[in-house]
Amino acid sequence: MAERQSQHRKDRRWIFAVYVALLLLVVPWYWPANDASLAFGFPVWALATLAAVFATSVFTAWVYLTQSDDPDD
Amino acid sequence: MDVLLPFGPGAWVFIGAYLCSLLLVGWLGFNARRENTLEDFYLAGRGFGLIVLVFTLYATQYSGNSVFGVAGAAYRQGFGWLISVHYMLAIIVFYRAFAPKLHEIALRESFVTPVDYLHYRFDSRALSVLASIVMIVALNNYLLAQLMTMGRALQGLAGAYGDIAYDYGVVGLALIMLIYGTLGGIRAIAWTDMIQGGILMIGFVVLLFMLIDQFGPLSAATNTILASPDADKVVRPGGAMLREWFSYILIVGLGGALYPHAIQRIYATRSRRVLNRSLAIMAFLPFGTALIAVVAGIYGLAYVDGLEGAATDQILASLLRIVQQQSLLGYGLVVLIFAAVLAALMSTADSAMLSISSMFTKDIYAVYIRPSAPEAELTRVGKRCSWVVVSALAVLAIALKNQASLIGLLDRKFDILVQLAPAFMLGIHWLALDRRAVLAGLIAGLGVALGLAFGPFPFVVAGKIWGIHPGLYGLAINLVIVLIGSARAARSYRQ
Repeated sequence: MAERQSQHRKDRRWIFAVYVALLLLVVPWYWPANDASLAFGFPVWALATLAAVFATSVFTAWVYLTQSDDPDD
Repeated sequence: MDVLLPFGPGAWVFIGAYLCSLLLVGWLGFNARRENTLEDFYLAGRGFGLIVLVFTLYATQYSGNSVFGVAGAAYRQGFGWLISVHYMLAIIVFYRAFAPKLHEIALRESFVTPVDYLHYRFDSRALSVLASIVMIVALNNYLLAQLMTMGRALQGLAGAYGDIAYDYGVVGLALIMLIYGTLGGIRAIAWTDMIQGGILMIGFVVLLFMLIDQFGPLSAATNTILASPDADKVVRPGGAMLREWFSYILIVGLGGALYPHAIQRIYATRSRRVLNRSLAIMAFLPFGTALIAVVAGIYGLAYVDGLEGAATDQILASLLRIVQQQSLLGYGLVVLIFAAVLAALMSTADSAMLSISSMFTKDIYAVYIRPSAPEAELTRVGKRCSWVVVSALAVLAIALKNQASLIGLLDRKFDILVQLAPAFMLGIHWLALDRRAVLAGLIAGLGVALGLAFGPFPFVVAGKIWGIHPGLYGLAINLVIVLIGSARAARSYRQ
């Protein structure tokens, strides 16, 4: 049982890795500092971060609906 | 009230009908109770289905801060406050770390309060008491913020009569909330959450269209800001703000997931499938709420001058006042949005109130004061507790009228709540987590977080150190102690 749980935890590590990658995209540290270009009324850096947040929402919904946290499922 | 606010009789009839519907639902909830027990009063017999759970989580999670605090912060900081969209999503992400498993155990072990889980998992009286205190203090902070926002909702609309309107808002709305909340318990609150959540969802969409109709497209507002001395609020935030961004995601994500009233909604869910589907839907709701509140703050920054300090949290009310004066349609929409704001405030405040009373009754009164008390007495004590707590906080909210910004209140509550993360999020998965290590970590984490937050340190700027919340420094120490302590305990056990 403990072995199966440990294996299950290892199998789920990639989910954590995806969240870390998305977190790095959500915070716009990578965008040029003085860029003031706009699109749809938003600064483009803001649209980039919103796109990353939306990707996080989609991934989260997918995880909830398809990835069980129970090794017996 | 007509003298104080620029609302006519029709508006007050609409808002009055909405408030009366809450009282009616409270009465219906009272009649629908199946037994006079804590489980029925605080968890509605664990019968929440998908629709009820989504609306009650939504109405509870999106509070006065989501409407006034976020719009106010966007007014002060510009587009950088898109942080709020992500930190509201982060709460749903962090639920994944423990909520599905906690639901399963809670169903099996008949938990009522979050401390029931801690007692089951760690069997440490000291840990249970300290966790109760942390959660009750954090929720009181939260409830106080909602009561203050109730006052500000009226204050911003009332113009020169703002101070008196604030007092009316705090006392009147607190009274209505107390009546329906103590009549019908969580059942009434979940049902009112469906009304409040529905009005809130419609209200946010209406707000967006109303702002565009009144002030023109967002691009015009952004260009206006770019041409003003506030142009720096459009460009990408700098280093300190980026660190703050990470910090808010972690502290609100972890802390929000550990809200006691949210944990109790997990307990009240009918099945794990319902819980997972509800949280999947919740992952998209920040776009219809926090994002629109940020956009409102941006419109305010472009077109409303002169608000500073705590007054910036009134920016949304100031915008509504402008729209209301322009046309009859604008007036009608403002009334609808005003009802949505009241819905956001009351749905959050009532849940916090009920959670405080459940923890006082189940975790303190029934354990240390009257261990042999029957369920009917405990339910009665819980209701009285709600009246005492809300009355005291209403007085405090009036006394603190012009003191603190709402975001400031939000920060301190999460600083202490996140210290419970190891006990819930690690403890539920890692059986080797040692109770003494968890207790020591919690004490150290609280000490560091509160010491940094309230101590006279010159390196603490705007409540943060290097852009990071004190609670996260506390959590880091807390985690180190928990991990090292548990590893040592496991080694000595093996020997």
